[in-house]
Amino acid sequence: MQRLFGNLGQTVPIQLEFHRRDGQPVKNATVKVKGLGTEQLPLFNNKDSIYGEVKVSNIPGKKLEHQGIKVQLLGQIELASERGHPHDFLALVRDLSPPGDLVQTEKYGFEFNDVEMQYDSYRGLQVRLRYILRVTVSKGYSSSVKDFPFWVRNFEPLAAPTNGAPIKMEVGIEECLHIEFEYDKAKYHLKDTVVGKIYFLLVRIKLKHMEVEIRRRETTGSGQSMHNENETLAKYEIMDGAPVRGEAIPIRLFLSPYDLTPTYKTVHNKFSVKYFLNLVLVDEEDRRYFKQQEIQLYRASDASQANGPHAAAATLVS
Amino acid sequence: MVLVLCIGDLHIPHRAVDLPQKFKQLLVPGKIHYILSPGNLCSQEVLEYFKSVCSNTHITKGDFDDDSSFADNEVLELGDFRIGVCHGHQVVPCGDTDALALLQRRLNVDILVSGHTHEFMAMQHEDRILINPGSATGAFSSLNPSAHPSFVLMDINGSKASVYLYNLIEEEVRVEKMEFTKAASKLI
Amino acid sequence: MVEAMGLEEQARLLQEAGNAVKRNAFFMKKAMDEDNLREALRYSATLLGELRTPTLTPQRYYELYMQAFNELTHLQAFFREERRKGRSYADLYELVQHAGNVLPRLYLLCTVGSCYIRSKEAPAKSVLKDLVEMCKGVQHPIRGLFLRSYLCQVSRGLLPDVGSEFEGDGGSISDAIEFLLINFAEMNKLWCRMQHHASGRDRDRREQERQQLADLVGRNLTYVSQLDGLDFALYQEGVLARVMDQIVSCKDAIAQQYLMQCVIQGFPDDFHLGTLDSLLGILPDLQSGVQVHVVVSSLLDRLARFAASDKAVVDTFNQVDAFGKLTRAAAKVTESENEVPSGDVVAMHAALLSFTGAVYPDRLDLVNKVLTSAYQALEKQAPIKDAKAEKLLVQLLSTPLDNYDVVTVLELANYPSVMSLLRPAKRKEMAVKICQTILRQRTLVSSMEKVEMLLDFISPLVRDTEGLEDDDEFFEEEQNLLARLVHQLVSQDTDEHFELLRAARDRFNAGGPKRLRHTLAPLAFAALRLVRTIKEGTADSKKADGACKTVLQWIHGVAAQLAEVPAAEIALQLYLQAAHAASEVACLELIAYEFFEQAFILYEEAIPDSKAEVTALQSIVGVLHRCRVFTAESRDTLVHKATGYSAKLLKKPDQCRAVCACSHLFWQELPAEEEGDDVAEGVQPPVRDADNVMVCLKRALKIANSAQQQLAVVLKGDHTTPVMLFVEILNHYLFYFEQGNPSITTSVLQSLLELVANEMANENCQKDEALLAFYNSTRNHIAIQKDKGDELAQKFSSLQL
Repeated sequence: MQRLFGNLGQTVPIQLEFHRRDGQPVKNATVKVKGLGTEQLPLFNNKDSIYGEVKVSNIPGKKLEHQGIKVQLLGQIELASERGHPHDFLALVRDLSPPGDLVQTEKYGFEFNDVEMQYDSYRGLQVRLRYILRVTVSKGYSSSVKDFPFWVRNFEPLAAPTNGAPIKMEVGIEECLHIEFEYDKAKYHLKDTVVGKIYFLLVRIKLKHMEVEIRRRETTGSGQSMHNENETLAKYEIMDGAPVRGEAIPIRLFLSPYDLTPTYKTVHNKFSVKYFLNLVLVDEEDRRYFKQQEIQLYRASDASQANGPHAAAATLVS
Repeated sequence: MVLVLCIGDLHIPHRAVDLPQKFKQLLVPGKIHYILSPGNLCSQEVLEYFKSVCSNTHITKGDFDDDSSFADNEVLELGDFRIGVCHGHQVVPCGDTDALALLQRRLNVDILVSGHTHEFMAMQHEDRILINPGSATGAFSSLNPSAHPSFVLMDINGSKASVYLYNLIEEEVRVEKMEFTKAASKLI
Repeated sequence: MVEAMGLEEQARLLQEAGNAVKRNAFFMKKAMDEDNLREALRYSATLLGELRTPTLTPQRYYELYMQAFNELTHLQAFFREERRKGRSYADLYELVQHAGNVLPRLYLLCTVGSCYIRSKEAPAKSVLKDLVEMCKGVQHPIRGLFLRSYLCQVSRGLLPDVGSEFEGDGGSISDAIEFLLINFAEMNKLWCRMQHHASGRDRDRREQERQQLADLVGRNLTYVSQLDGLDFALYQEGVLARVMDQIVSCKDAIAQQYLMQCVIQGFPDDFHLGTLDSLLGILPDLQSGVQVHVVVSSLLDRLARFAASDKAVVDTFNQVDAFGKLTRAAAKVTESENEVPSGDVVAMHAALLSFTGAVYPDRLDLVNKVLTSAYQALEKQAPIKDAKAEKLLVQLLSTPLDNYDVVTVLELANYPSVMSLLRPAKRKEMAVKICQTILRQRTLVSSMEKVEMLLDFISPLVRDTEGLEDDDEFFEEEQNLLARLVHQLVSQDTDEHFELLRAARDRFNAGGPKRLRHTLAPLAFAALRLVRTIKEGTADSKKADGACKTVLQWIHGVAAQLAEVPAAEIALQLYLQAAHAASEVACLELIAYEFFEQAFILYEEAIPDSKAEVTALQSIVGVLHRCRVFTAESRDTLVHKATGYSAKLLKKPDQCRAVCACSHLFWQELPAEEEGDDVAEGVQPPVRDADNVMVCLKRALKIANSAQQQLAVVLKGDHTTPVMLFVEILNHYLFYFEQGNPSITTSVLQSLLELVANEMANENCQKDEALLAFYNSTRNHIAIQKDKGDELAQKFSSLQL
């Protein structure tokens, strides 16, 4: 963290507290940290107003001289290929104090009203999108800077169940394997359940098992410099053994256990994130057959999410 | 306590089809210790049947038996009794108690089991006991044309012999019991 | 994969997997104790992961399954506890589905599902439907079968059956049936699929393994049958049609065989009766490997038992024309495919027949229909050579014998034709069975036609049959049967009865001496009995005499024939019995005399050895003693012959005893007093010839004496047999003394007593216990007579011992 968010020439203890207008505590988001573990970050939505209080302490008994204190709200996209040169798509600033001396710990309130934060925070393999509050205490050429990251998630209203036709497709290898698969819809919210069925229309190979993978594809750049990075986020076995012609195997995949994000399409012309369901069939000789199908993911607002005790009952086959 | 089955004059197949079913039901294998038969079984199958009921068989030769392994008479001792078996066609007059008593003295037996007359009988004669189990099949005989199927079961307990007479009359088994005690021999 | 694995290897694999189950169960329980749901689920999934093994045989897999099964009960308890703490089953139901592998996931799902239903948080029907559908994820036959069997087991008692607490909001009986039938169909598919996985050479092994798993599939149907709410309408509409559908469509012989049996055994009889058309209707659609006759047979057996348990249902049988349907079904089975083995055809008809016997005990016409059907089905294959088919055919023919009157059965038009399908050896076996049945049932064969017909049926016993060798081992037994059978040929009418016996003899004649030896004697005895019946039953004495004469003459012929067999001893005995009957029953002196003559001729010419001579002579004397029809002259001749032969016996003791016996020929018993006045015509007064008795006894003494002298030379006098004879003769003296024979005076007796006493004084005699005992009991007898205190005692009193 220190390295990424590095406080240059830090000598001044700077603290920042987020507030909400209504005085309620700021909600936190649990965010996976690369490698292992999670961290808690303050969570905001687009158009939220961000309030807070910056506390700058001096070393007791010592007078701190400065050329001004400010707080910036930055939205940045950083590509792995351009490390250290993030692209700011959002930059707002509030001056907290004119140049002067700090003889005791001072508190400065600030507010950014109705901030346009249309992009979600995102940490991918080769790209990240982040929001920070950056506090700078200017001291000539050795300013004290400290970044305070926060997290942004945006919600969409829950799509009507009938919204979007199911994905239905017949695929196969001629004279060998014909299957038809069907996912109930193409668009899922992040705590949704993928329900579907695989129909075996012709089976002339001895299958061993079948699984559904959730794959993520990050795309950065465009044209010649376009780069794709694929990642398998879930492997979910849905069939054990060899079916015969006429069998229909149910699929029910809960998305909630996995660390997914909504689908992002050309975020600020910098990157895209797409999700796929990949159906994999493995035969007794360990040959793999697969068919990948894109799905749209979105984040439904908490209130509208199908959650609670009836969620599972709703997933019982009807 | 010794259970002794006295049974004879079956005459199968010459004069009878089979032992009555009701008798067969009574004669369960394993219960009887001895079979004494005065003979006239007339077929190997009857002998085998006897042996299936009880392996300890003493059978004497009747006038219609052609099994040469059967003796003219047999004597054995059970409890305090000497018991003789003899078919009885040798005895003249046939079935006469005095004539049978003569044979009894000759064999020196307390109980004589004989057959031939197809007339069942159990009696004390002088100081001895005469038993004739009759014909187990009620076989026809001009000596006793209206014979009922019958046999005798003796329960010998020391000096006591309980004699059960089984008689099949109109498809019904009737049982009579008689008790005999061996008399102490009179000294002369 | 499982193919060539040894037993040891299997045991080792099971051991390993079992250990893994135990290990994970340990951690699972630890997590439960720590109230760590996530970990508990993780370990339980790993534990269940052991069931993913592809290598165990069904038998071993079952053992592993049972281990896992036991651990899952802990999990159920844990889930209940979680629920008590406030976590909803809906939540748990979702949570377990996060497991990545399908098999453990589904086991967990079934486990939670059962708790879910029990809690009534969700309607039973919805959960059941979900579970039964989701289980499709396992398509591996063995793993799938066990998973679904687990599902079936944990949901038992949770079905929305009529009267169940889960009925109502939880669903209805149709949901319960639906659940079980879907599970059944899925399991059956998996089960059938096992077969396709086997290559040709493991086919047998695989079939065997499948048989082991059959009950897992069948259990679904058992549970259906146990539903309280299952009534006939539901069964017919909702169950049978679908089960039948599954049976036909699976096109698998093993499954079809098993499931048909399952249905037949599993559901109530009255259901079957109501759905006969469906049950029988699918038979032609079954695979060729299915033993349709076994199916039909077990259906028939069930229905037969049903009818036997409740006579009232026979009406229902008639209403639905059960017999007709079953017969047609049987016929259809034999027609539908050309290659139904004869054994199967017979087996099915055998079952049909026993059904008929149980349901329609009085309907011989139906028996005949079954026989007709059997004959038509087998005609082309005659004679039946297949051993199993032969055996079954014999059984088929035997069944009606047991249930109906034998003779009537034999009259059934098609009985002989079915019997003709058999080869000679089996026809003989049938003949034996027929005889045995007649004898067991004591059926009387009372008319000429029936006797002729019966003898036709049993001709393999009566005479030599082409292509059939007599088996020595059984020959005697078989002839014995035939001999016994004679006593069942009986008519109330004496003339007809005699005709029956004559007819039988005519047939028996064809059997040759080896058979006649066995069969003639019973004929003669039956005829002897007839003589008495005629005599007693005929009022007209002339007519009676004539009839008796005819029969006796016929017996004469039989005995003569028996003598030629040769069987001289029995022939002689027969002559004697006939003589006795002629004398004592018919009072026909000439005929009685003739019989004795014949007996003597045989005695002289044909008795093989001295021992037989003794017996024969004993019999002659015994019978002659009882005959009272002879006038003095003829009697003298016969008695003379008897005594003559007695004295000529080989051994002295035999001679002596025979002569003693002959003495009685001169001393007949007096008729009992009450009969005294009513002597039949032709009966002579009893002979009481004291002098000749004495002559005989003296001759006996002489023989004993000469025996003693003879032995004295040879054995130097230490043999006691002659003394034994003396004592015996003494006893005869005593007999006559008691009888009041005037020749035996006290002094005669006294001198013999002294003679015997002298002999007894001999040292050898004192050592011979048997002799001593005989002597002592004789003296004892005298002592008893003295003590009696009657008239006789008076006579005895002067005797000195």
